[in-house]
Amino acid sequence: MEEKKDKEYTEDKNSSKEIVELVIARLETMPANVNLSIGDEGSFTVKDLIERVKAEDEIGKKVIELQLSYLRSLKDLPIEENVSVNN
Amino acid sequence: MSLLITRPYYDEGTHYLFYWSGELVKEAQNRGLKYFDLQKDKANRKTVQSYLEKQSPDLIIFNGHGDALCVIGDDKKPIISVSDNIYLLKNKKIFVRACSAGKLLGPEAIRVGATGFIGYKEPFWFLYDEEKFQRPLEDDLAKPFFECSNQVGFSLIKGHAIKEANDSSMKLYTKKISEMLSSKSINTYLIPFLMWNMANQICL
Repeated sequence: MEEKKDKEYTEDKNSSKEIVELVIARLETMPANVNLSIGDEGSFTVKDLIERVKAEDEIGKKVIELQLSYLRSLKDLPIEENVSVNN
Repeated sequence: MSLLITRPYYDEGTHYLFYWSGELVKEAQNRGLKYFDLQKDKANRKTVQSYLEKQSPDLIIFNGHGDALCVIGDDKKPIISVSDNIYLLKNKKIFVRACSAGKLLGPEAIRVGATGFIGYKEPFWFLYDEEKFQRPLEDDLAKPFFECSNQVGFSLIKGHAIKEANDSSMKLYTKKISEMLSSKSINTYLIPFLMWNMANQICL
Protein backbone atom coordinates (compact mmCIF):
# COMPACT_ATOMS: atom_id res chain seq x y z
CA MET A 1 0.00 0.00 0.00
CA GLU A 2 2.76 2.42 1.04
CA GLU A 3 4.73 1.50 -2.07
CA LYS A 4 1.72 2.25 -4.29
CA LYS A 5 1.23 5.66 -2.65
CA ASP A 6 4.91 6.48 -3.11
CA LYS A 7 4.70 5.51 -6.78
CA GLU A 8 1.59 7.70 -7.31
CA TYR A 9 3.31 10.61 -5.57
CA THR A 10 6.41 10.26 -7.75
CA GLU A 11 4.25 10.02 -10.88
CA ASP A 12 2.26 13.15 -9.92
CA LYS A 13 5.46 15.01 -9.19
CA ASN A 14 6.97 13.96 -12.53
CA SER A 15 3.81 14.89 -14.39
CA SER A 16 3.70 18.30 -12.69
CA LYS A 17 7.36 18.85 -13.58
CA GLU A 18 6.67 17.95 -17.20
CA ILE A 19 3.78 20.38 -17.34
CA VAL A 20 5.92 23.19 -15.93
CA GLU A 21 8.61 22.41 -18.51
CA LEU A 22 6.03 22.40 -21.30
CA VAL A 23 4.65 25.79 -20.24
CA ILE A 24 8.14 27.25 -19.94
CA ALA A 25 8.99 25.97 -23.42
CA ARG A 26 5.89 27.72 -24.74
CA LEU A 27 6.75 30.97 -22.97
CA GLU A 28 10.28 30.83 -24.38
CA THR A 29 8.82 31.22 -27.87
CA MET A 30 7.69 34.75 -26.93
CA PRO A 31 10.00 37.65 -27.88
CA ALA A 32 11.71 39.53 -25.06
CA ASN A 33 9.87 42.80 -25.79
CA VAL A 34 6.51 41.21 -24.89
CA ASN A 35 4.94 42.10 -21.54
CA LEU A 36 1.85 40.63 -19.95
CA SER A 37 -0.48 42.88 -17.97
CA ILE A 38 -2.50 41.05 -15.34
CA GLY A 39 -4.84 43.56 -13.73
CA ASP A 40 -3.53 45.09 -10.54
CA GLU A 41 -0.94 42.33 -10.22
CA GLY A 42 1.10 44.45 -12.63
CA SER A 43 3.11 43.79 -15.76
CA PHE A 44 5.43 40.89 -16.34
CA THR A 45 8.21 40.33 -18.83
CA VAL A 46 8.64 36.90 -20.41
CA LYS A 47 11.56 36.30 -18.05
CA ASP A 48 9.38 37.21 -15.03
CA LEU A 49 6.67 34.84 -16.22
CA ILE A 50 9.10 31.97 -16.59
CA GLU A 51 10.36 32.59 -13.04
CA ARG A 52 6.76 32.66 -11.73
CA VAL A 53 5.96 29.40 -13.51
CA LYS A 54 9.09 27.77 -12.10
CA ALA A 55 8.15 28.97 -8.62
CA GLU A 56 4.54 27.83 -9.18
CA ASP A 57 3.23 30.85 -7.26
CA GLU A 58 -0.27 32.26 -7.85
CA ILE A 59 0.69 34.04 -11.09
CA GLY A 60 2.68 31.02 -12.26
CA LYS A 61 -0.26 28.70 -11.58
CA LYS A 62 -2.59 30.98 -13.55
CA VAL A 63 -0.19 31.01 -16.50
CA ILE A 64 -0.02 27.20 -16.36
CA GLU A 65 -3.82 27.04 -16.21
CA LEU A 66 -4.11 29.37 -19.21
CA GLN A 67 -1.63 27.42 -21.34
CA LEU A 68 -3.15 24.05 -20.44
CA SER A 69 -6.62 25.32 -21.11
CA TYR A 70 -5.45 26.40 -24.59
CA LEU A 71 -3.75 23.08 -25.31
CA ARG A 72 -6.85 21.14 -24.25
CA SER A 73 -8.99 23.31 -26.54
CA LEU A 74 -6.84 22.72 -29.62
CA LYS A 75 -9.24 20.12 -30.93
CA ASP A 76 -12.09 22.63 -31.06
CA LEU A 77 -10.42 25.94 -31.75
CA PRO A 78 -12.86 28.56 -33.03
CA ILE A 79 -12.03 28.49 -36.71
CA GLU A 80 -14.67 30.05 -38.89
CA GLU A 81 -14.63 31.12 -42.46
CA ASN A 82 -15.96 34.50 -43.51
CA VAL A 83 -17.00 35.60 -40.05
CA SER A 84 -18.80 38.90 -40.36
CA VAL A 85 -18.98 41.21 -37.39
CA ASN A 86 -21.94 43.54 -37.21
CA ASN A 87 -21.16 46.81 -35.57
CA MET B 1 -29.41 57.26 -24.55
CA SER B 2 -26.51 58.51 -22.46
CA LEU B 3 -23.17 56.99 -21.50
CA LEU B 4 -20.95 57.19 -18.45
CA ILE B 5 -17.42 55.89 -18.92
CA THR B 6 -14.62 55.74 -16.34
CA ARG B 7 -10.95 55.82 -17.35
CA PRO B 8 -8.48 55.86 -14.46
CA TYR B 9 -4.82 56.30 -15.36
CA TYR B 10 -2.03 55.37 -12.99
CA ASP B 11 -0.07 52.29 -14.12
CA GLU B 12 0.79 50.22 -17.20
CA GLY B 13 -2.57 48.48 -17.30
CA THR B 14 -4.66 51.62 -16.91
CA HIS B 15 -2.40 53.41 -19.43
CA TYR B 16 -3.55 50.99 -22.13
CA LEU B 17 -7.14 50.91 -20.90
CA PHE B 18 -7.23 54.72 -20.89
CA TYR B 19 -6.20 55.10 -24.53
CA TRP B 20 -8.18 52.16 -25.88
CA SER B 21 -11.36 53.17 -24.09
CA GLY B 22 -10.78 56.63 -25.55
CA GLU B 23 -11.84 55.03 -28.85
CA LEU B 24 -15.24 54.40 -27.26
CA VAL B 25 -15.47 58.04 -26.21
CA LYS B 26 -14.72 59.04 -29.83
CA GLU B 27 -17.49 56.75 -31.03
CA ALA B 28 -19.95 58.33 -28.58
CA GLN B 29 -18.84 61.78 -29.80
CA ASN B 30 -19.23 60.82 -33.45
CA ARG B 31 -22.72 59.52 -32.80
CA GLY B 32 -23.75 62.67 -30.96
CA LEU B 33 -24.44 60.66 -27.84
CA LYS B 34 -24.67 62.43 -24.51
CA TYR B 35 -21.69 61.13 -22.56
CA PHE B 36 -19.79 61.68 -19.32
CA ASP B 37 -16.10 60.84 -19.62
CA LEU B 38 -14.80 60.46 -16.06
CA GLN B 39 -11.11 60.18 -16.74
CA LYS B 40 -8.03 60.18 -14.51
CA ASP B 41 -8.76 61.72 -11.09
CA LYS B 42 -12.43 62.18 -11.97
CA ALA B 43 -12.77 58.40 -11.89
CA ASN B 44 -13.45 58.32 -8.16
CA ARG B 45 -16.36 57.07 -6.08
CA LYS B 46 -17.78 60.48 -5.18
CA THR B 47 -17.88 61.79 -8.75
CA VAL B 48 -19.14 58.52 -10.24
CA GLN B 49 -21.87 58.30 -7.62
CA SER B 50 -22.89 61.90 -8.22
CA TYR B 51 -23.18 61.38 -12.00
CA LEU B 52 -25.08 58.14 -11.57
CA GLU B 53 -27.59 59.81 -9.26
CA LYS B 54 -27.99 63.15 -11.03
CA GLN B 55 -27.49 62.30 -14.71
CA SER B 56 -28.80 58.74 -14.65
CA PRO B 57 -26.96 57.44 -17.75
CA ASP B 58 -28.44 54.34 -19.40
CA LEU B 59 -25.12 52.78 -20.29
CA ILE B 60 -22.06 52.50 -18.04
CA ILE B 61 -18.60 51.37 -19.11
CA PHE B 62 -16.15 50.88 -16.28
CA ASN B 63 -12.45 50.48 -17.13
CA GLY B 64 -9.69 49.83 -14.64
CA HIS B 65 -8.69 47.33 -12.06
CA GLY B 66 -11.03 45.42 -9.85
CA ASP B 67 -11.91 42.12 -8.28
CA ALA B 68 -14.96 39.93 -7.83
CA LEU B 69 -16.61 42.49 -5.56
CA CYS B 70 -15.66 45.93 -6.84
CA VAL B 71 -14.22 48.19 -9.54
CA ILE B 72 -11.32 50.43 -8.56
CA GLY B 73 -10.98 54.12 -9.42
CA ASP B 74 -8.04 56.42 -9.99
CA ASP B 75 -7.37 56.75 -6.25
CA LYS B 76 -7.12 52.94 -6.05
CA LYS B 77 -10.31 52.86 -3.99
CA PRO B 78 -13.58 51.21 -5.05
CA ILE B 79 -15.89 53.33 -7.17
CA ILE B 80 -18.63 50.73 -7.24
CA SER B 81 -18.87 47.74 -4.95
CA VAL B 82 -21.23 44.99 -3.89
CA SER B 83 -21.03 46.07 -0.25
CA ASP B 84 -21.58 49.79 -0.85
CA ASN B 85 -23.31 51.35 -3.84
CA ILE B 86 -24.24 48.57 -6.24
CA TYR B 87 -27.88 49.72 -6.07
CA LEU B 88 -26.82 52.60 -8.38
CA LEU B 89 -26.64 50.12 -11.26
CA LYS B 90 -30.41 49.55 -11.29
CA ASN B 91 -31.90 49.92 -14.79
CA LYS B 92 -28.47 50.26 -16.39
CA LYS B 93 -26.61 48.34 -19.07
CA ILE B 94 -23.10 47.74 -17.80
CA PHE B 95 -19.81 46.71 -19.34
CA VAL B 96 -16.95 46.23 -16.87
CA ARG B 97 -13.48 45.88 -18.35
CA ALA B 98 -11.75 45.03 -15.10
CA CYS B 99 -10.57 41.81 -13.51
CA SER B 100 -13.05 39.28 -12.16
CA ALA B 101 -16.07 41.59 -11.76
CA GLY B 102 -18.15 39.00 -13.60
CA LYS B 103 -17.82 36.61 -10.69
CA LEU B 104 -19.94 38.38 -8.06
CA LEU B 105 -20.40 42.05 -8.94
CA GLY B 106 -22.13 41.18 -12.22
CA PRO B 107 -24.68 38.76 -10.78
CA GLU B 108 -25.31 41.18 -7.89
CA ALA B 109 -25.86 44.06 -10.32
CA ILE B 110 -28.49 41.99 -12.10
CA ARG B 111 -30.08 41.10 -8.75
CA VAL B 112 -30.51 44.80 -7.90
CA GLY B 113 -32.13 45.48 -11.28
CA ALA B 114 -29.42 46.14 -13.87
CA THR B 115 -30.80 45.41 -17.34
CA GLY B 116 -27.65 43.66 -18.52
CA PHE B 117 -24.03 43.06 -17.66
CA ILE B 118 -20.90 42.06 -19.56
CA GLY B 119 -17.64 41.49 -17.73
CA TYR B 120 -14.91 38.96 -16.97
CA LYS B 121 -15.09 36.23 -14.39
CA GLU B 122 -11.29 35.98 -14.23
CA PRO B 123 -8.54 38.61 -14.62
CA PHE B 124 -8.56 40.51 -17.92
CA TRP B 125 -5.10 39.91 -19.41
CA PHE B 126 -3.39 41.50 -22.34
CA LEU B 127 0.00 41.39 -23.96
CA TYR B 128 1.79 44.53 -25.03
CA ASP B 129 5.00 45.51 -26.75
CA GLU B 130 7.17 47.54 -24.40
CA GLU B 131 8.66 49.29 -27.42
CA LYS B 132 5.18 50.61 -28.26
CA PHE B 133 4.26 51.59 -24.72
CA GLN B 134 4.13 55.32 -25.54
CA ARG B 135 1.84 54.65 -28.51
CA PRO B 136 -0.64 52.09 -27.19
CA LEU B 137 -3.04 52.45 -30.12
CA GLU B 138 -0.24 51.40 -32.48
CA ASP B 139 0.71 48.37 -30.42
CA ASP B 140 -0.08 45.33 -32.59
CA LEU B 141 0.25 42.96 -29.65
CA ALA B 142 -2.29 44.81 -27.52
CA LYS B 143 -4.58 45.55 -30.46
CA PRO B 144 -6.54 42.26 -30.66
CA PHE B 145 -7.22 42.27 -26.90
CA PHE B 146 -8.66 45.76 -26.98
CA GLU B 147 -10.39 45.53 -30.33
CA CYS B 148 -12.28 42.42 -29.20
CA SER B 149 -13.28 43.88 -25.85
CA ASN B 150 -13.99 47.33 -27.32
CA GLN B 151 -16.43 45.64 -29.65
CA VAL B 152 -18.76 45.26 -26.66
CA GLY B 153 -18.62 49.01 -26.05
CA PHE B 154 -19.02 49.97 -29.72
CA SER B 155 -22.05 47.74 -30.03
CA LEU B 156 -23.69 49.08 -26.86
CA ILE B 157 -22.99 52.69 -27.87
CA LYS B 158 -24.75 51.96 -31.17
CA GLY B 159 -27.80 50.96 -29.15
CA HIS B 160 -27.61 47.21 -29.48
CA ALA B 161 -28.93 44.91 -26.77
CA ILE B 162 -26.52 43.43 -24.26
CA LYS B 163 -26.64 39.95 -25.82
CA GLU B 164 -26.06 41.34 -29.31
CA ALA B 165 -23.06 43.28 -28.00
CA ASN B 166 -21.60 40.15 -26.45
CA ASP B 167 -22.24 38.08 -29.59
CA SER B 168 -20.58 40.74 -31.72
CA SER B 169 -17.52 40.69 -29.48
CA MET B 170 -17.39 36.89 -29.53
CA LYS B 171 -17.53 36.91 -33.33
CA LEU B 172 -14.60 39.30 -33.43
CA TYR B 173 -12.59 37.07 -31.05
CA THR B 174 -13.32 34.12 -33.31
CA LYS B 175 -12.34 36.09 -36.40
CA LYS B 176 -9.06 37.30 -34.88
CA ILE B 177 -8.09 33.86 -33.56
CA SER B 178 -9.03 32.25 -36.82
CA GLU B 179 -6.91 34.75 -38.76
CA MET B 180 -3.94 34.10 -36.48
CA LEU B 181 -4.26 30.36 -36.92
CA SER B 182 -4.70 30.39 -40.65
CA SER B 183 -2.11 32.98 -41.62
CA LYS B 184 1.63 33.12 -41.41
CA SER B 185 1.27 35.18 -38.28
CA ILE B 186 4.36 35.15 -36.12
CA ASN B 187 2.35 36.15 -33.08
CA THR B 188 0.51 32.89 -32.48
CA TYR B 189 1.68 32.97 -28.86
CA LEU B 190 -1.07 35.60 -28.43
CA ILE B 191 -3.80 33.06 -28.98
CA PRO B 192 -3.92 31.39 -25.52
CA PHE B 193 -4.13 34.81 -23.86
CA LEU B 194 -6.83 36.03 -26.22
CA MET B 195 -8.80 32.84 -25.74
CA TRP B 196 -8.55 33.28 -21.97
CA ASN B 197 -10.38 36.63 -22.13
CA MET B 198 -12.86 35.23 -24.62
CA ALA B 199 -13.67 32.23 -22.42
CA ASN B 200 -14.02 34.38 -19.32
CA GLN B 201 -16.19 37.11 -20.83
CA ILE B 202 -19.69 36.66 -19.49
CA CYS B 203 -23.01 38.16 -20.43
CA LEU B 204 -25.86 38.33 -17.91
